Amino acid sequence: MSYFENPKDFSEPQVARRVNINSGLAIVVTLALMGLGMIFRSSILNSTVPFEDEENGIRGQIPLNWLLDVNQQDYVFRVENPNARPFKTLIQASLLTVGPDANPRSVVDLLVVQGPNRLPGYHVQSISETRLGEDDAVEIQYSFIQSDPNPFLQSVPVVVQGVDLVVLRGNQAVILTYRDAVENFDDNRPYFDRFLQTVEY
Amino acid sequence: MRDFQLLAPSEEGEEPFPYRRVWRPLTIELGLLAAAVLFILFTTRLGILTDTYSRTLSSGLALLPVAAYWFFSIRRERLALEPRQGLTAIVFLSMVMANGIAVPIMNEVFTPERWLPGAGFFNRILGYAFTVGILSEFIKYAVVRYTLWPHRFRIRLDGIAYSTAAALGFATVLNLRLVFYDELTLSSAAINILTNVYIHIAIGAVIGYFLGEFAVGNASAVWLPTGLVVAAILSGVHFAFRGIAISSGLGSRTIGGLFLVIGVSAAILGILSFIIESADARMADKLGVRRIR
Amino acid sequence: MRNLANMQRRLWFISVPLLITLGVGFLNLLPPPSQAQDEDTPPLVRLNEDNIKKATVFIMQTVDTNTGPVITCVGTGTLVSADGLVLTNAHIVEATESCPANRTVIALTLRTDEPPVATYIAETVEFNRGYDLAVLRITSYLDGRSIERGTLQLPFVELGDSNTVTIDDTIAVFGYPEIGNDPVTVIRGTIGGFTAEAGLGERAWLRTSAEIPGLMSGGGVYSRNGELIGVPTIAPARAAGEALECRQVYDTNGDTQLDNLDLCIPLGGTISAIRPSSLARGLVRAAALGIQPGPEKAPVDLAPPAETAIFRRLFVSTGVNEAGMPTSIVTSLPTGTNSLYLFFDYQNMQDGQVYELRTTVGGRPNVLYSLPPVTWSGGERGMWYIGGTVPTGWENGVYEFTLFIEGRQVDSHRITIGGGPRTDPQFSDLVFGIQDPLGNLIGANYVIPEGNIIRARFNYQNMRDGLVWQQRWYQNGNLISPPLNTAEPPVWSGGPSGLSSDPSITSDIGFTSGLYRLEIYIQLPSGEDWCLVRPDIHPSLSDWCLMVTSDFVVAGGAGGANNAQALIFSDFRFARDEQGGLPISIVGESMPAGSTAIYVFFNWRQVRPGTPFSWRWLVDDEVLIENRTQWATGVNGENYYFSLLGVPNLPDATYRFELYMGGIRLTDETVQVEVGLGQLPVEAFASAKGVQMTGQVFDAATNQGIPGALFVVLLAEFSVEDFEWQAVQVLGRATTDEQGFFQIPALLPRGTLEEPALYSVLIRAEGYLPANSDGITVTTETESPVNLEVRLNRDLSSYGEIQ
Repeated sequence: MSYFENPKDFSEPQVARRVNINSGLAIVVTLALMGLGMIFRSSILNSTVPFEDEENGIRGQIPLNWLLDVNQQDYVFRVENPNARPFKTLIQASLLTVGPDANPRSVVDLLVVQGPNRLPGYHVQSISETRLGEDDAVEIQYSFIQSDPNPFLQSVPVVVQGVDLVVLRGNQAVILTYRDAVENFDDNRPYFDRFLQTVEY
Repeated sequence: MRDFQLLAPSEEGEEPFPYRRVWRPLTIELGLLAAAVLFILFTTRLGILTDTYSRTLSSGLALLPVAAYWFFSIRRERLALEPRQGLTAIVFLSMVMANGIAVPIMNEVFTPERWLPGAGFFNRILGYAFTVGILSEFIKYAVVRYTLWPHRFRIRLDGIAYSTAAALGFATVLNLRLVFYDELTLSSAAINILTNVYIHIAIGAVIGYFLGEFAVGNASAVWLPTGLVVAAILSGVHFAFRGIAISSGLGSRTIGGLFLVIGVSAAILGILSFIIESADARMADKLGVRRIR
Repeated sequence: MRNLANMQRRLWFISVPLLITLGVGFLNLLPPPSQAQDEDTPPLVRLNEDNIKKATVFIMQTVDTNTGPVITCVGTGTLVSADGLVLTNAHIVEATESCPANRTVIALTLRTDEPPVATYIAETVEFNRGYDLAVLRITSYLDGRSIERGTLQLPFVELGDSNTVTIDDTIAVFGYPEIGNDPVTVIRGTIGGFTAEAGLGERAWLRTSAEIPGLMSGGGVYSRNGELIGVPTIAPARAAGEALECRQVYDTNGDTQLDNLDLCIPLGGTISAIRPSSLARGLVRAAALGIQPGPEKAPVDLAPPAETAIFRRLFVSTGVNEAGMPTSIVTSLPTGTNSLYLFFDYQNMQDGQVYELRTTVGGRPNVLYSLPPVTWSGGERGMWYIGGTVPTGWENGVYEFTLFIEGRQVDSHRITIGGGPRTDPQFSDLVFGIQDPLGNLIGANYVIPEGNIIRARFNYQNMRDGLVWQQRWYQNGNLISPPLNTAEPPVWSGGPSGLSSDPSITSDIGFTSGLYRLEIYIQLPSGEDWCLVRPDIHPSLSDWCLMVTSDFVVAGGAGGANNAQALIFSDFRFARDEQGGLPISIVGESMPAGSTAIYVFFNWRQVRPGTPFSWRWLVDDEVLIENRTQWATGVNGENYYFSLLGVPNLPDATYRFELYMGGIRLTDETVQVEVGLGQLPVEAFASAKGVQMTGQVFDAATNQGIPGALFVVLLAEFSVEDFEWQAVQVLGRATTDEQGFFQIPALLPRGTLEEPALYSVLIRAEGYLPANSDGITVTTETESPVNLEVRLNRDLSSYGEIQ
């Protein structure tokens, strides 16, 4: 031979079998790795840390690496996703002292009345009865406008959608809140659902 | 064994290499792209060109690798004694697969921008490798594997030739999307275009080596999957190191990314060249034939 | 050959990457693109012009009409705290006939090259008509939503020390020259001199020859070091209540026509006078602490007098004593005279009226020696002065001083400066006292107790025995001295120079409390002209020269050594409230923390209504609130009170109350009470002590701002590594706007040069690699705001989709 050439006979059964094994395994490995990738993705996106406020008796799993704020007058805790845009996805728990004759619906009425004072453009979309674990709960779905009050910034107001879930605990109402920009509300709702699955009050 | 006609009188004992060279034109094409990018970076840094979004210049730069490939590779292929077939088809098929399959899966299923930028270094390696990396490399692999392989593979370098064609098509789609969907400044577009082309060609060449070796040499039952995993991991490693290279406190260190991708690509291609050269030499020795190079 | 080919191949592989690497490396050595310099802008020495421009606000008074709110008057102000205190002129925010208003709107400069944008509503929290200074607090948005105190983080400037300013110092004046359609303007000039004014001392006004448009009144004057050292001030000149210069802009009566039935926006002329920041310091501190003057037992009735306001008895003195009285009277001055004061009597004036002094030298108007239209604050009647000291000497020439009230010329006076030292008779330094049993004058005062004999003493020079002189005593404007014995007029026999105690007046029934005056005249010998005869004072004085004069007060009973002191106010006590004019909850030396009011009660003796006096409150030894007024209740009495209110409550501090009459303090250090700890908390003025942090977050690839990115500043004790995403570790956070701009709502406390405060920041945005930085240094030298430019890099994972 005057040049290098070593043709392989791919019709040979041994070679063909090896080709088939390789091809099959390549597809299997690819799918397996992608599956692993999705599991990995899920574990990073959905990783949580435990939160516990002994004084107020609230505990649950909150998303990891979200900014946690506690001990404010308005809420027991609030976590916000620092990466989210344009609105920092928010989960919070707050308490309201109520009388012995209160029911979740009466608390909801109060929240709705106070809503416009707290949240600009407050608008209730729905109020529905639901359950949180074994407790009766009432869920308010609402929207409002979030804008930066700093006049030096050219901020565009953001339409925010929110959910307040109200349950009673003795002489207190526990209000669990989830808020996000309307375009991300459904995508990020699983964060709140996971929190609801682990919350104890 | 086929007879062939010599095109020119050879020196005593010297026979012409019947196939188009791969490494030299590849080096020229990559070098040409680098020269164009460096030209843009210098002129924008010196203020000769305004560093703003320019769809014309950016899209021209995105298509430059394909144009250079056509000029230095596809055109020259026809002049070879034993031309490779289907290179242009591979480029286009890879573009279609990239745009039709890879990009939608990245954006809708993997959504790496939601969870990977803030992840730790090793999480980024694995995260990119097992999502973006494996998908990209599988597509480049599939485009070649299920069309031309193995009947068009005569030498190991065929793997490099075809896989780099697939990689070029893939990278070109990403670059065109960058140009048309994002208003990158001229210098940023240049750097991103170069990065995409270099890294996809380098890692695509790894796939090509595995395909070529399987076609020509000996390979185990897990040879091709191993190649895919190696390529995916390399991709993940590059992404992870790129994050470190370009970040600098509150600023941006684009030169770091350039150094990284050029270094990584040169290293990968250099190593592959050496491996293929050695494998060919070993096979020639084993078969007792004289190699024409 | 083969080896050569191999070598060539290897050379390709090595050389091309090497060349590329070298090219990239060389690129790295090139300097980044340089920022273009605006060659037209003169260099500023330590003047943070951008911050000052943003701290300069446009003030609009609005009044509700049937078509909605309409702008009636405009002016300029300056933000002096991050939480929304605005310093401006009192006349800009006072509702008057020509400026009806029920709301004050604050417009901000959002972009320094654009006109201001109406943003907030403010309320007046401190007001001093005498200084023509006021402090506003921003309280709500334009839509009426209230703003919680302390939540605003606006750009602001700190008050500087105007007492360090000297003549020829460079100044920069910031303000809005037009009715809201121009961006904030800077006018540069120098300090030309200082003007004295009664009750406010030598530096009542800083003067400049820079031509400052009248609408910039209320703005800020900055020293070369960028400190706020004054407020340019001019009251729009008026005639019969109407502004002389006025612009009609809006259809204020809603009749769809623009005519003289509509209100017009008054414009000032050209400002040359600046109220020094030293006068504003107390007001700003009071506003920052939330302290306001409270109810007073008998405030002066501000009803307009029935008769026309007049100025009369103009004369010039070369000095002013501690009681605000002229030290001498001159009709000409030698070359090199440094000080000159124009004194005059006034009647039927009302606080808030506009008065003006125009001075010509040799017939040419001189801006520096004039006083542009400013608001009156001297009350209804009394003696006033305007003047000043020129270190290099007043220039030689014939000076004509002309006074105007509301644009109406009222009186003028002429004096010549030039020539050698004076050789004509001079009287000076007139003081008063009572007579001891031996007939000697005891006390040297301007407030003397009731008694039967009042004596005066003065210095004299260049007198000639034989000159005829007379003393004229007045009580409450009425001549009480016996008529001149023209047959045997008093003749001078005291020699050429010395101290005379001759002037005296006796009363069998005793001199009751009130405002008194002594004028001493010399009859001008015929053929001589060394003084100015005063037929303007009284026709009988057509050949008499006024040599020296002074006012003094008789009040209180005699006390002290030799009964020479006037005991006027006594029995000071503090209480927490009053009811029916009586103290409620009298306290001793201290009051509990969180108190909302302090009342100081005292008794008084022999103070005639109309007697001028002043009072002030000091907090931790710093004057906060002071006022000059006139006694407006009975001659004797108990339980007069003044008060201070805290909004929402008075901060812990030591509060001292002082009363002054005739330039003399009539209270001592014991008239004070401690609230809480008795000392202001360290962070009382924290808003003036920190720096703002602002900046922009860019996408490194597109060079455009990233909206919605999170910028976090950690407390100084935490680094990025320590951060566990707990809000307790965070000093402040902000989200970027559509252009990527952000502003941290909290101020960063400063460190010192030896121990700088080090801050760490984190920036996060989905799709971008995180950015962190430790070691951002803030010291006492750091200028506010600290501006950061952040470039975020995309991760290459985003395949071209718009986020």
